Amino acid sequence: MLSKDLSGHEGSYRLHPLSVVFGMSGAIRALILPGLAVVILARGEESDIWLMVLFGPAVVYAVVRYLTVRYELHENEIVIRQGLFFRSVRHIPYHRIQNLNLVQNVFHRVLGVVELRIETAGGAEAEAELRVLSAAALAEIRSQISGYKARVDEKEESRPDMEPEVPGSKDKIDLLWPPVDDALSPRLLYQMNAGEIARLGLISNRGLLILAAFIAILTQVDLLESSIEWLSSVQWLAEWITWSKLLSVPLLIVLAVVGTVLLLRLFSLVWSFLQFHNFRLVLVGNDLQTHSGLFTQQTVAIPRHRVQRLVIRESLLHRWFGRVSVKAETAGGKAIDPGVGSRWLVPLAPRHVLQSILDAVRYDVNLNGVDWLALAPRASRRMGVRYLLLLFIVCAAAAAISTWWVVLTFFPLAPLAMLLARLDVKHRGYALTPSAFLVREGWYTRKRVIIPYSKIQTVSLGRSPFDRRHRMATLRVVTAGPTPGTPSVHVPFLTLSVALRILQRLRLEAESHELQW
Amino acid sequence: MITADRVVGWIVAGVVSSVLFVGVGALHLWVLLSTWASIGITVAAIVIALGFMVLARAWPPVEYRRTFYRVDELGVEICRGVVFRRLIAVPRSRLQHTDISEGPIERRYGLATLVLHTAGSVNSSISLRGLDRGTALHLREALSPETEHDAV
Repeated sequence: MLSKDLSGHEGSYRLHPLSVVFGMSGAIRALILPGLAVVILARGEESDIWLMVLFGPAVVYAVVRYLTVRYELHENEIVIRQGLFFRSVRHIPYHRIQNLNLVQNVFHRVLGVVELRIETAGGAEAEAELRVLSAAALAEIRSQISGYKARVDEKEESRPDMEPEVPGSKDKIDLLWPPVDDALSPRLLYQMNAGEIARLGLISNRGLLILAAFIAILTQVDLLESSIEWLSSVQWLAEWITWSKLLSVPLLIVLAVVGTVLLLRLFSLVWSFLQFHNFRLVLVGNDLQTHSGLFTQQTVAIPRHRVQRLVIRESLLHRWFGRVSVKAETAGGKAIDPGVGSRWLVPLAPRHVLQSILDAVRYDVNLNGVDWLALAPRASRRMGVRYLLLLFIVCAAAAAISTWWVVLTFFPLAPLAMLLARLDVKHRGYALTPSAFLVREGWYTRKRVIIPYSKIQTVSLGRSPFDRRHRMATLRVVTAGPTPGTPSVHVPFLTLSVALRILQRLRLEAESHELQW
Repeated sequence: MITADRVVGWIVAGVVSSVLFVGVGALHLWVLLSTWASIGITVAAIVIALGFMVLARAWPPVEYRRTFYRVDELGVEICRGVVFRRLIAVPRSRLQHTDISEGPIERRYGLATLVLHTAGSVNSSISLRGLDRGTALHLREALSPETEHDAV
């Protein structure tokens, strides 16, 4: 299956010949409408020529790309060469690879090929994309990388003293790929069954997204107008029913609202099955791998020590169902999920699975035994002021677009704002465990963020003039992220002396827990 | 550092006020203004220009008094900001690399800026301005990692 480079050197590979087809598919998708237009408009024999003009460059490009892209697997790096006139050679050392993502849509699957994206830290895009590879070639790349890891581990084991944190040691790599404990046998950590996926569809609110996409498609195909016409005819029908059967209009409205909600949830359900059909979280050696998807299957492999922080979310609905969702934030390339750099470790799982996942990521944190500490005693007052200010702005804005007296709604709503502020503060907190810093926030969607000390990059305290008057400070803990500006974790309204103590503690912990990429 | 910042301040003030006055002059030439509008605009321009000059004179010492740094075995702590104060701690092992930059005015006064780079998603480059050139070099020496780091 491997198409060895005929021109010479050993260990140089081409992509799979089908790359030509898949390389063209993008162009075909972009040109399908003009192509159809050509076929329809120029019905004669000329249409062939026009089609060639349209698709010719894409075909040439795909063929040239296939002929020029080569990759070489060396002992400790992968080298990718491409380009006809402007040649580029890219070296990616294995130890810098943050994660390998595989994408396989229906066509890929039928033809037995796969798209591979190699991501390293920092870049907004994947470091390298190999489109497309045969299964055998993929296996070769994987075995090369894991072979490298195994060699490094062997070195680790043969060393007389197992002190990985010796400063000045040349085997820094050992830290990057910690020794594999139970060989490379995959261990299934969590699997979503159909019920769980359905629950996910109910809990998450993706229905609107699908509806939006649906409407976008309708407008694209000019179906929107006709469907609106259809809808208005239905409305006319409904009115007729209302009048004839003396059904009350409010009831009809209620029915419409309920129907919409149900429809949205149904869409959400569909989305959930498309995205997460047969979702599995597997631990292979040191890689956390997730597999999911109904039509387009996706595999994401994250080396577990590359997880920068974990975010655990529980909305009100989650809590009703006794479920949690967990995301892992890495420093590697652009995320496939919306929400930069964070990947579902578990889209939805029963609460009791949580601890086993934390153990699998090697977070030495026992979530049940966490000792949460609260914000400063006067924090709710300051948060209250903030909420009232926000409420006032909203009321004033509402008044500006309607009449002035709307601003008076501020007064009946003020106690509610104070209550919410109090709730907000009550659910915020932080904790210092032996291995990680934990932050929690949110009263509706409760969020817990776990940052291992070894992943902390900088710690800072911010003090606004108000903070200074109240002798408070905001603590900010920064980790590496996929793109500059990924929000950091912060804890507001801390008593200054407490905040300073935390800062010093975190400095100490960060320095004594060696940074691991 | 105060002097150097004042020089920068004066340059900014000079540029701003000359732009303002040229603008006001041009307005008077091309647009017919009522007496009051003319006086108002001129006074506003003068006030703004004066404001910049006062700031150029008074701000640097205030800022200087509010900037501190400390280096110990754990890393660097930098404290700065007048209205919004910030204390940033960079652990030693998280430093990716350090830069020293010198602008023309800094060079004139023998100053340098030390820039600390981390891999953080925010605060990834933290600069410490107004250091003595020698001090900056010394700090950089003291902070440079002894071990070879993974270059991310």
